[in-house]
Amino acid sequence: MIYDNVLKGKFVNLRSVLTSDSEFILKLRLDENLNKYINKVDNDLEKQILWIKNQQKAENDYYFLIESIEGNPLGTISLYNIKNSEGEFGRWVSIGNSVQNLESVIILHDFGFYELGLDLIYSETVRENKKVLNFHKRFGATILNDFTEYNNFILQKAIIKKEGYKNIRKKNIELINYFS
Amino acid sequence: MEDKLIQIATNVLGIKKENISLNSSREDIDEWDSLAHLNLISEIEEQFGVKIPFEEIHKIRKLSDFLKYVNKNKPL
Repeated sequence: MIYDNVLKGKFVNLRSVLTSDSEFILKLRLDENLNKYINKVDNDLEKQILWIKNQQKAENDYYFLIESIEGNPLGTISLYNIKNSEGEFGRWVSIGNSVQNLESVIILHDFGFYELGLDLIYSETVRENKKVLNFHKRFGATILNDFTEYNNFILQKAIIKKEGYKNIRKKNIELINYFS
Repeated sequence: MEDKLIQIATNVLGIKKENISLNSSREDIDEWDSLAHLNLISEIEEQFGVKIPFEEIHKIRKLSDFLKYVNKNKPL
């Protein structure tokens, strides 16, 4: 789906990915420092453009470009598989700094809980990707002993419920404010 | 000063002292995720009375990288 507005923060903004972002996204996903734990893509710009065109048509699937306040592309983040008041947070790949990365996650959760009215947002992280699992935990998510297999990866689930998000948000916004 | 830096890091990252040194990098330590990085910076700034410029947040890769900021405030 294409979300027409821009989700604004202090350090980053999120806007829907466009086909014109394909080259940047492909480069990002081919970066060996970033793609160890994400699904591999072919180095094929036409395929990437087609993938974005299909994503734009997909219901309940929001895919955002993370941009610095100056308008430079930093990465991507997504809320998808939305059904039964739940949505999946993923496709998070960024070259932004830690403040920008954290704010992109807060903005996405704000969007999910307060704009879409979701009750739960979950993520599925490759079990060996300890750094991202630690991020989720530190952010305030509950890490579950719930594993699924996908594309030869074992994924571990983390969840945030709406009723707990207010406190999670407060804690993380305080950190953002510290750096602003 | 080095000991204090390591003490702060062990507290913030929640790891044992024997698992970290000044040469430890973000890549070496799973617990040093991007949120932990911000907690670490804010704690070091507070405890050493220094300010790390926003543009340099991503340049800090090792614990020893903090020394250049901390040393600036070192009493003569």
